[in-house]
Amino acid sequence: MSVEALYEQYAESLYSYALSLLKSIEAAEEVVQNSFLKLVRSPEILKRAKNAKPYLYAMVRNEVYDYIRRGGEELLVDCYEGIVFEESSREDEILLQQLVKELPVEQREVIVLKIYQGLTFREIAEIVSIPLNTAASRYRYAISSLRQKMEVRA
Amino acid sequence: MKERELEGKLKKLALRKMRPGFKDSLLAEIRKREKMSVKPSLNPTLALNCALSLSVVAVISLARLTSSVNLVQEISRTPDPIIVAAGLEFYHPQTLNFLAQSLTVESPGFKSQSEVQL
Repeated sequence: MSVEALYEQYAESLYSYALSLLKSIEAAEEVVQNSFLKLVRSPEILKRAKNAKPYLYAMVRNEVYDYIRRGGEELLVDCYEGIVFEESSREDEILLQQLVKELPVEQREVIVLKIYQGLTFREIAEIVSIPLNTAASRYRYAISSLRQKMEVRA
Repeated sequence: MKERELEGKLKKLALRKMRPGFKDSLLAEIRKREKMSVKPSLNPTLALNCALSLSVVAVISLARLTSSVNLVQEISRTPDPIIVAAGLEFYHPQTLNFLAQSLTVESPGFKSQSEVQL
């Protein structure tokens, strides 16, 4: 598959994943751009991957952390001015968006990968470099926390 | 609220999309760079000659230039890939092993190259 085809298929998803970890649109754009241009330069790296999809997410994740290491962004703070969602006018949606933003970043990351990117816990574990059980428990903690907070604030 | 209900609500939240201007310009850049990075395919005759001479390094260089996959494809199309294999086995067995693994699918006859006697 060409990089162009991968871009058509995955760019939006990878962008929203990057946005779930970063604070600004520009930062997420830079991360996605760097990831795809790296693929253009070295397309053979994808041939070594068993499954392109989790590999691409892992690649974007590495780019995010590289970006932070370069001092581009202070990220991975628990309560951030997240912009991962489109603005909503519905009260319940606004509340839920806010609660997702308030999740610890490692839980928010798993929620985004599971709910919005449709990845399995096995794939998430591979991307985040954590054991399978940890991926699943982070998801359960996040859902449980969201449920409790929704009930309290509703 | 049940877990399923909450997951349903979460799924309804719309993720922010890329800015169209950025998305299109990056796509254009990828197309441009992919076009520029198209590498010439390996000339099978050249590969054969290289393999049969002492210039196996040239084959390796060509493989790097054209990417391994191209090398595999080109060698599998040569009139007598076994000769190429023989040359590689003599001069660069690691490369031959790599080719043997890669060519198993494309050129079943290539499997027996390790039995070739120079």
